Amino acid sequence: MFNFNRKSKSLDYKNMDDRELVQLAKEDKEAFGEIYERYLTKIYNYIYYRTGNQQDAEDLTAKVFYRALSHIENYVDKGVPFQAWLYRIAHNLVANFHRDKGRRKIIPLDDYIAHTLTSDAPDKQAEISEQKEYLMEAIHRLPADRQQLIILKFIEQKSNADIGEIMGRTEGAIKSLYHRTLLSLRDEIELQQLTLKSDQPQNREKQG
Amino acid sequence: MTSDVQWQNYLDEVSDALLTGNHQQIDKLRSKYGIAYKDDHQLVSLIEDMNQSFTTVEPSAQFSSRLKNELIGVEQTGVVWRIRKLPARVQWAAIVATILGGGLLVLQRLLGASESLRKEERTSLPEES
Repeated sequence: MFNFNRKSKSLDYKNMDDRELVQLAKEDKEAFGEIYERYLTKIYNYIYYRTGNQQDAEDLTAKVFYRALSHIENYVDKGVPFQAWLYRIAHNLVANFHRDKGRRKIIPLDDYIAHTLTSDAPDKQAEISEQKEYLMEAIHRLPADRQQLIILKFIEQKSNADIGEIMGRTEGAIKSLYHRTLLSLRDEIELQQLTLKSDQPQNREKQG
Repeated sequence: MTSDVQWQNYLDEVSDALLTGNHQQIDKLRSKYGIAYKDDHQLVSLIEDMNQSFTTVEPSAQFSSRLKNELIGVEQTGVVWRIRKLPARVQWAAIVATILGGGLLVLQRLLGASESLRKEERTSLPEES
Protein backbone atom coordinates (compact mmCIF):
# COMPACT_ATOMS: atom_id res chain seq x y z
CA MET A 1 0.00 0.00 0.00
CA PHE A 2 0.95 3.66 0.07
CA ASN A 3 3.85 4.58 2.21
CA PHE A 4 3.22 7.63 4.37
CA ASN A 5 6.37 7.19 6.51
CA ARG A 6 7.80 10.60 5.76
CA LYS A 7 4.66 12.41 6.76
CA SER A 8 4.21 10.51 10.02
CA LYS A 9 7.90 10.91 10.79
CA SER A 10 7.64 14.69 10.49
CA LEU A 11 4.74 14.66 12.95
CA ASP A 12 6.78 12.62 15.44
CA TYR A 13 9.62 15.13 15.84
CA LYS A 14 7.93 16.68 18.84
CA ASN A 15 7.80 13.36 20.69
CA MET A 16 11.41 12.45 20.02
CA ASP A 17 14.06 12.84 22.66
CA ASP A 18 17.13 14.99 22.02
CA ARG A 19 19.35 12.03 21.17
CA GLU A 20 17.09 10.80 18.35
CA LEU A 21 16.55 14.32 17.05
CA VAL A 22 20.26 15.10 16.93
CA GLN A 23 20.96 11.93 14.94
CA LEU A 24 18.27 12.90 12.43
CA ALA A 25 19.34 16.56 12.37
CA LYS A 26 22.69 15.54 10.91
CA GLU A 27 20.86 14.99 7.59
CA ASP A 28 17.39 16.36 8.11
CA LYS A 29 16.83 20.10 8.47
CA GLU A 30 13.32 19.62 9.83
CA ALA A 31 14.76 17.75 12.80
CA PHE A 32 17.10 20.66 13.35
CA GLY A 33 14.04 22.91 13.20
CA GLU A 34 12.57 21.01 16.14
CA ILE A 35 15.83 21.40 18.08
CA TYR A 36 15.64 25.11 17.31
CA GLU A 37 12.06 25.36 18.60
CA ARG A 38 13.01 23.45 21.74
CA TYR A 39 16.01 25.56 22.70
CA LEU A 40 15.54 28.99 21.14
CA THR A 41 13.98 30.66 24.21
CA LYS A 42 16.42 29.01 26.62
CA ILE A 43 19.50 30.06 24.68
CA TYR A 44 18.07 33.51 24.02
CA ASN A 45 17.41 34.04 27.74
CA TYR A 46 20.85 32.82 28.69
CA ILE A 47 22.45 35.29 26.29
CA TYR A 48 20.02 38.10 27.07
CA TYR A 49 20.90 38.01 30.77
CA ARG A 50 24.60 37.77 29.99
CA THR A 51 24.67 40.68 27.54
CA GLY A 52 21.89 42.90 28.89
CA ASN A 53 20.16 43.92 25.69
CA GLN A 54 17.88 42.54 23.02
CA GLN A 55 19.99 43.40 19.98
CA ASP A 56 23.11 41.60 21.18
CA ALA A 57 20.98 38.72 22.44
CA GLU A 58 19.45 38.29 18.97
CA ASP A 59 22.81 38.52 17.18
CA LEU A 60 24.50 36.01 19.45
CA THR A 61 21.52 33.64 19.53
CA ALA A 62 21.59 33.55 15.73
CA LYS A 63 25.33 32.79 15.83
CA VAL A 64 24.76 29.93 18.30
CA PHE A 65 22.26 28.21 16.03
CA TYR A 66 24.32 28.82 12.88
CA ARG A 67 27.31 27.28 14.60
CA ALA A 68 25.22 24.38 15.90
CA LEU A 69 23.83 23.72 12.41
CA SER A 70 27.25 23.74 10.78
CA HIS A 71 28.85 21.50 13.44
CA ILE A 72 26.03 19.10 14.25
CA GLU A 73 27.41 16.58 11.74
CA ASN A 74 30.50 16.25 13.92
CA TYR A 75 28.58 16.09 17.20
CA VAL A 76 29.43 12.95 19.15
CA ASP A 77 27.14 11.81 21.94
CA LYS A 78 29.39 11.31 24.97
CA GLY A 79 26.55 10.79 27.42
CA VAL A 80 26.30 14.50 28.23
CA PRO A 81 22.93 16.11 27.40
CA PHE A 82 22.79 17.78 24.01
CA GLN A 83 21.73 21.07 25.60
CA ALA A 84 25.10 21.19 27.37
CA TRP A 85 26.71 21.40 23.93
CA LEU A 86 24.42 24.27 22.91
CA TYR A 87 25.04 26.13 26.18
CA ARG A 88 28.77 25.68 25.72
CA ILE A 89 28.58 27.28 22.27
CA ALA A 90 26.55 30.15 23.78
CA HIS A 91 28.95 30.47 26.70
CA ASN A 92 31.98 30.69 24.37
CA LEU A 93 30.31 33.22 22.08
CA VAL A 94 29.31 35.43 25.02
CA ALA A 95 32.85 35.21 26.39
CA ASN A 96 34.27 36.22 22.99
CA PHE A 97 31.71 39.03 22.76
CA HIS A 98 32.78 40.50 26.12
CA ARG A 99 36.45 40.05 25.35
CA ASP A 100 36.28 41.58 21.85
CA LYS A 101 34.10 44.51 22.70
CA GLY A 102 35.29 45.12 26.25
CA ARG A 103 31.65 45.64 27.15
CA ARG A 104 31.56 43.78 30.37
CA LYS A 105 31.64 46.89 32.53
CA ILE A 106 29.23 48.99 30.52
CA ILE A 107 26.31 46.63 30.17
CA PRO A 108 23.10 48.63 29.76
CA LEU A 109 20.60 47.62 32.39
CA ASP A 110 17.64 49.59 31.10
CA ASP A 111 16.24 46.64 29.19
CA TYR A 112 15.93 44.53 32.34
CA ILE A 113 14.23 47.27 34.24
CA ALA A 114 11.86 48.19 31.42
CA HIS A 115 11.04 44.56 30.85
CA THR A 116 10.23 43.59 34.42
CA LEU A 117 8.67 46.76 35.74
CA THR A 118 5.45 47.46 33.99
CA SER A 119 2.70 46.95 36.53
CA ASP A 120 3.86 48.49 39.84
CA ALA A 121 3.05 51.96 41.07
CA PRO A 122 5.55 54.61 39.83
CA ASP A 123 7.10 55.43 43.25
CA LYS A 124 7.50 51.76 44.08
CA GLN A 125 8.89 51.14 40.60
CA ALA A 126 11.72 53.61 41.16
CA GLU A 127 12.70 51.92 44.41
CA ILE A 128 12.54 48.40 42.99
CA SER A 129 14.31 49.57 39.86
CA GLU A 130 17.23 50.87 41.93
CA GLN A 131 17.50 47.64 43.94
CA LYS A 132 17.29 45.59 40.80
CA GLU A 133 19.97 47.69 39.18
CA TYR A 134 22.37 47.10 42.11
CA LEU A 135 21.66 43.41 41.95
CA MET A 136 22.14 43.14 38.20
CA GLU A 137 25.33 45.18 38.33
CA ALA A 138 26.65 42.92 41.07
CA ILE A 139 25.72 39.81 39.07
CA HIS A 140 27.49 41.16 36.00
CA ARG A 141 30.66 41.64 37.99
CA LEU A 142 30.68 37.94 38.90
CA PRO A 143 32.96 35.54 37.02
CA ALA A 144 31.33 33.99 33.94
CA ASP A 145 30.79 30.55 35.52
CA ARG A 146 28.90 32.06 38.46
CA GLN A 147 26.69 34.11 36.15
CA GLN A 148 25.96 30.97 34.18
CA LEU A 149 24.98 29.13 37.36
CA ILE A 150 22.62 31.92 38.45
CA ILE A 151 20.92 32.07 35.06
CA LEU A 152 20.48 28.31 34.80
CA LYS A 153 19.06 28.18 38.32
CA PHE A 154 16.71 31.14 38.21
CA ILE A 155 15.70 31.34 34.56
CA GLU A 156 15.82 27.72 33.53
CA GLN A 157 15.02 26.50 37.05
CA LYS A 158 17.33 23.58 36.49
CA SER A 159 18.34 21.15 39.21
CA ASN A 160 21.92 21.09 40.49
CA ALA A 161 22.43 17.77 38.69
CA ASP A 162 21.38 19.30 35.33
CA ILE A 163 23.46 22.42 35.92
CA GLY A 164 26.39 20.18 36.76
CA GLU A 165 26.01 18.30 33.47
CA ILE A 166 25.83 21.54 31.50
CA MET A 167 28.80 23.09 33.28
CA GLY A 168 30.84 19.89 33.46
CA ARG A 169 30.94 19.77 37.29
CA THR A 170 29.59 17.53 40.01
CA GLU A 171 26.35 18.26 41.85
CA GLY A 172 28.33 18.92 45.03
CA ALA A 173 30.60 21.38 43.23
CA ILE A 174 27.54 23.26 41.97
CA LYS A 175 26.09 23.52 45.49
CA SER A 176 29.40 24.81 46.78
CA LEU A 177 29.75 27.30 43.92
CA TYR A 178 26.19 28.52 44.53
CA HIS A 179 26.93 29.06 48.22
CA ARG A 180 30.08 31.05 47.44
CA THR A 181 28.22 33.04 44.78
CA LEU A 182 25.49 34.05 47.22
CA LEU A 183 28.03 35.12 49.82
CA SER A 184 30.01 37.20 47.37
CA LEU A 185 26.85 38.80 45.97
CA ARG A 186 25.68 39.68 49.48
CA ASP A 187 29.05 41.28 50.30
CA GLU A 188 29.13 43.09 46.97
CA ILE A 189 25.67 44.59 47.41
CA GLU A 190 26.43 45.62 51.00
CA LEU A 191 29.59 47.35 49.83
CA GLN A 192 27.72 49.05 47.00
CA GLN A 193 25.09 50.39 49.39
CA LEU A 194 27.71 51.57 51.87
CA THR A 195 29.58 53.39 49.13
CA LEU A 196 26.38 55.07 47.98
CA LYS A 197 25.49 56.13 51.52
CA SER A 198 28.93 57.62 52.08
CA ASP A 199 28.75 59.42 48.70
CA GLN A 200 25.40 61.05 49.40
CA PRO A 201 26.49 63.46 52.23
CA GLN A 202 29.57 64.45 50.18
CA ASN A 203 27.36 65.27 47.20
CA ARG A 204 25.03 67.28 49.38
CA GLU A 205 27.97 69.23 50.78
CA LYS A 206 29.27 69.92 47.27
CA GLN A 207 25.83 71.05 46.13
CA GLY A 208 25.44 73.24 49.28
CA MET B 1 27.36 25.39 64.71
CA THR B 2 26.35 24.95 61.08
CA SER B 3 29.02 23.57 58.76
CA ASP B 4 29.71 24.78 55.23
CA VAL B 5 28.06 21.70 53.72
CA GLN B 6 24.97 22.24 55.89
CA TRP B 7 24.81 25.86 54.75
CA GLN B 8 25.10 24.71 51.15
CA ASN B 9 22.25 22.24 51.60
CA TYR B 10 20.17 24.78 53.50
CA LEU B 11 20.55 27.51 50.85
CA ASP B 12 19.86 25.01 48.12
CA GLU B 13 16.61 23.93 49.76
CA VAL B 14 15.64 27.54 50.47
CA SER B 15 16.18 28.40 46.80
CA ASP B 16 14.04 25.46 45.69
CA ALA B 17 11.29 26.54 48.11
CA LEU B 18 11.34 30.14 46.87
CA LEU B 19 11.49 29.12 43.22
CA THR B 20 8.40 26.97 43.68
CA GLY B 21 6.59 29.65 45.73
CA ASN B 22 6.70 27.76 49.05
CA HIS B 23 7.65 30.72 51.22
CA GLN B 24 6.11 29.14 54.33
CA GLN B 25 8.72 26.39 54.03
CA ILE B 26 11.57 28.75 55.03
CA ASP B 27 10.83 28.71 58.78
CA LYS B 28 10.65 24.91 58.76
CA LEU B 29 14.03 24.78 57.00
CA ARG B 30 15.50 27.24 59.52
CA SER B 31 14.52 24.99 62.40
CA LYS B 32 15.63 21.86 60.51
CA TYR B 33 19.14 23.27 60.05
CA GLY B 34 19.23 25.28 63.32
CA ILE B 35 19.78 28.58 61.56
CA ALA B 36 18.60 31.88 63.07
CA TYR B 37 16.81 34.59 61.08
CA LYS B 38 19.55 37.13 61.83
CA ASP B 39 22.14 34.82 60.23
CA ASP B 40 20.38 34.18 56.98
CA HIS B 41 17.80 36.90 56.25
CA GLN B 42 20.13 38.81 53.92
CA LEU B 43 20.85 35.69 51.91
CA VAL B 44 17.19 34.68 51.81
CA SER B 45 16.13 38.13 50.60
CA LEU B 46 18.92 38.04 48.01
CA ILE B 47 17.57 34.73 46.69
CA GLU B 48 14.07 36.18 46.68
CA ASP B 49 15.26 39.29 44.78
CA MET B 50 16.96 37.14 42.17
CA ASN B 51 13.85 35.02 41.85
CA GLN B 52 11.81 38.15 41.12
CA SER B 53 14.40 39.80 38.88
CA PHE B 54 14.97 36.90 36.54
CA THR B 55 11.90 36.39 34.45
CA THR B 56 11.80 34.52 31.18
CA VAL B 57 12.11 36.83 28.18
CA GLU B 58 10.50 35.69 24.94
CA PRO B 59 12.40 36.47 21.74
CA SER B 60 10.26 38.45 19.30
CA ALA B 61 8.12 36.37 16.93
CA GLN B 62 9.65 38.22 13.98
CA PHE B 63 13.19 37.31 15.06
CA SER B 64 12.25 33.67 15.77
CA SER B 65 10.60 33.06 12.41
CA ARG B 66 13.23 34.99 10.43
CA LEU B 67 16.08 33.02 12.00
CA LYS B 68 14.28 29.71 11.48
CA ASN B 69 13.75 30.54 7.83
CA GLU B 70 17.41 31.46 7.45
CA LEU B 71 18.50 28.23 9.12
CA ILE B 72 16.22 25.65 7.57
CA GLY B 73 14.51 27.43 4.69
CA VAL B 74 11.02 28.86 4.35
CA GLU B 75 8.40 26.62 5.83
CA GLN B 76 6.06 25.74 2.99
CA THR B 77 2.57 24.42 3.40
CA GLY B 78 1.13 24.33 -0.15
CA VAL B 79 -0.42 21.25 -1.78
CA VAL B 80 2.42 20.90 -4.32
CA TRP B 81 5.02 21.01 -1.51
CA ARG B 82 3.08 18.37 0.43
CA ILE B 83 2.93 16.10 -2.60
CA ARG B 84 6.64 16.58 -3.28
CA LYS B 85 7.38 15.36 0.24
CA LEU B 86 5.53 12.08 -0.36
CA PRO B 87 7.36 8.92 -1.57
CA ALA B 88 7.74 8.55 -5.36
CA ARG B 89 5.10 5.84 -5.80
CA VAL B 90 2.57 7.89 -3.82
CA GLN B 91 3.39 10.87 -6.03
CA TRP B 92 2.77 8.73 -9.14
CA ALA B 93 -0.50 7.48 -7.67
CA ALA B 94 -1.53 11.09 -7.01
CA ILE B 95 -0.65 12.10 -10.59
CA VAL B 96 -2.54 9.13 -12.11
CA ALA B 97 -5.54 9.81 -9.86
CA THR B 98 -5.52 13.49 -10.86
CA ILE B 99 -5.34 12.62 -14.58
CA LEU B 100 -8.09 9.99 -14.31
CA GLY B 101 -10.26 12.29 -12.24
CA GLY B 102 -9.76 15.15 -14.70
CA GLY B 103 -10.47 12.81 -17.64
CA LEU B 104 -13.68 11.61 -16.02
CA LEU B 105 -14.81 15.18 -15.42
CA VAL B 106 -14.12 16.14 -19.04
CA LEU B 107 -15.87 12.99 -20.30
CA GLN B 108 -18.86 13.68 -18.07
CA ARG B 109 -19.11 17.23 -19.37
CA LEU B 110 -18.84 16.09 -22.99
CA LEU B 111 -21.50 13.45 -22.46
CA GLY B 112 -23.71 15.96 -20.69
CA ALA B 113 -23.18 18.49 -23.47
CA SER B 114 -24.03 16.01 -26.23
CA GLU B 115 -27.12 14.87 -24.31
CA SER B 116 -28.39 18.44 -23.99
CA LEU B 117 -27.65 19.04 -27.70
CA ARG B 118 -29.74 16.03 -28.59
CA LYS B 119 -32.55 17.28 -26.39
CA GLU B 120 -32.39 20.71 -28.01
CA GLU B 121 -32.48 19.14 -31.48
CA ARG B 122 -35.54 17.09 -30.53
CA THR B 123 -37.43 20.14 -29.25
CA SER B 124 -36.47 22.43 -32.14
CA LEU B 125 -37.43 20.02 -34.97
CA PRO B 126 -41.06 20.57 -36.18
CA GLU B 127 -43.23 17.53 -35.78
CA GLU B 128 -44.06 15.87 -39.06
CA SER B 129 -47.68 15.06 -39.34
